[in-house]
Amino acid sequence: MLFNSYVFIALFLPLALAGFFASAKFGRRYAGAWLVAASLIFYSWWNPAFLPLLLASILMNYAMSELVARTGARPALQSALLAAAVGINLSALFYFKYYFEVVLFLANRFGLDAHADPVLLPLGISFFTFTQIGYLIDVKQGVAKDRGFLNYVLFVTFFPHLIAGPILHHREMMPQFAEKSTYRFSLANFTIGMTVFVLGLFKKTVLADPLGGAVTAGFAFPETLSFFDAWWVAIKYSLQLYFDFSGYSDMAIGLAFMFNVRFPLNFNSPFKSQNIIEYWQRWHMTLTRYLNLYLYNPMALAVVRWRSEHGYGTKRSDQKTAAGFLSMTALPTMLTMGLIGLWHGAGLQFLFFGLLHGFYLTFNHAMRTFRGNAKQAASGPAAAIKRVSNVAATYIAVVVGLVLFRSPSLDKALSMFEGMSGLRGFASSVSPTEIAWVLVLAVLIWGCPNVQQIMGKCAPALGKVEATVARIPLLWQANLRWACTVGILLTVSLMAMGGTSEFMYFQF
Amino acid sequence: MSETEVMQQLNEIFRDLFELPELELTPGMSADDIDEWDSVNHVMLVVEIERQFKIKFHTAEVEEMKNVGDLVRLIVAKCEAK
Repeated sequence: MLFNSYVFIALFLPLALAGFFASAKFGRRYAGAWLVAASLIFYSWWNPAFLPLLLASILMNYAMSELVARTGARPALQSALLAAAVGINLSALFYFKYYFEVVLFLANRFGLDAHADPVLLPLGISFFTFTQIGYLIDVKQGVAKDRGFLNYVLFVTFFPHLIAGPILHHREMMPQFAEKSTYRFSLANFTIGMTVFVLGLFKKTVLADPLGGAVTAGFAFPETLSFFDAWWVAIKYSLQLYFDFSGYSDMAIGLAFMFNVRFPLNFNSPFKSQNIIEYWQRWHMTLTRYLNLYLYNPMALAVVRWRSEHGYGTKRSDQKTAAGFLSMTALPTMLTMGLIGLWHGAGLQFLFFGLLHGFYLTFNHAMRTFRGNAKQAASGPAAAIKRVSNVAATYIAVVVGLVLFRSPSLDKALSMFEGMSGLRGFASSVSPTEIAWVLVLAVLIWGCPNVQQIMGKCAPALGKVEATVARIPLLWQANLRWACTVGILLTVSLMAMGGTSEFMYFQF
Repeated sequence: MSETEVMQQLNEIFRDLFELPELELTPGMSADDIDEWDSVNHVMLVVEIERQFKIKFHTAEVEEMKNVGDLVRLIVAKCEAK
């Protein structure tokens, strides 16, 4: 079921909410069970065939996590159990997401005599696999305190995040499901959650979806695009993805808050970033956090500790040597980003997307390491120009990366780059109305506070939102003016909602 | 070791590592407040703390340490448990 469908908004959501708070009167277990059941229906709506897979994954992981928790006295056995559990998760993910593509790739490139049938990707498999692997590792390390079964199932299946994130951490979720106040209806939280949901819905149906047609056509046939047209398609795609995924994340946060649950922030105006390091701290923030936690940190820690124990320096001055920089910064960064790329899909274009960002980040870190901390004036026109040019350069670098991210194949991406580099001339077919519309979107992205800032103190997400503007002109308040605004936005969104339009991150 | 002592030693580590000789740490500071405090430097910071205080962190703890107050409390707890 899609958040942006009539059946979800008019039927599923009201029933899920009413049933949850009504059954809570009889006890929290009933409310929890109701929410699990609703979430499973939500999941099965799309394709019931994958429900057994989701259930098997939850049961297997919970059983394994309990075994891991109880074998703390026998570390070797505990490690073996953890490795087995992680292995099963990754094998399932590999089978559904990569197996067919890899066989096809080997058959085409190396003439390998192998055959595989395409497999339908179970919705949300990367997301529920990741959250559960994280839980297993934390149980092994002894930092998972709450290990109740119902809270665990709720944490994994809770429908606002089940299909495309945010990628939750049990430590921030399970205590919330153990909290009594979660089970009491709060009109304030409902109102705030609904407001955030509607703002997200508006981003999705009114701002993102209309860009889709031109983008799909452009990426399907990039062979004819000139310099301006190719850049135009790439820029439009960056806007579409931005409003689609940030809209989805707002809707997830809003929905969770109607159930008195706070999700972590997933988006914090990433296109306002002044460099690529900052960009990854503000774009798909929960994925960055997850990979830092379970991939980058362990790798980098291992390298730095190894150096420390073997008499190689680990100080700032050692980071400035070629060997120090390569081993402590470049290697873990490139590996992590390569895997981030592949997490999105099996194609070579995703691998190159990851590696390109790995290169951006390494370059960014090299600037910081070797040039030192550039002390810049905090105000004045020179600083403003520097800020604007940093933001523009970062955005352009991101758009180039997104060409790889969106292209159906590496060949199509290269063809797009050919157009963008001006090799096919500069004729343009961009119309003035299109330009005007994109300018409106640009003002929304770069000139306005984001949804979390608009919600101010009511912001229903976990994590700190920077208050770049001291007084936000559009600050949300529980008054008639905002009620009317949200009502109008909802009406417009509902009218724009024709047909079904999946969220772009559903494919991951 | 008291929180004040840990804080002082930590301040030296931060100044040295991030090359910010005038930095004054406060318990409320977090990675968001110091530009240089990114994922790469965070790992250097963690290992430097391990070396100077002669303690060891779990991988799972590392991501929780991006706030000075929490960091100090964790170091004090680890030193006491030694």
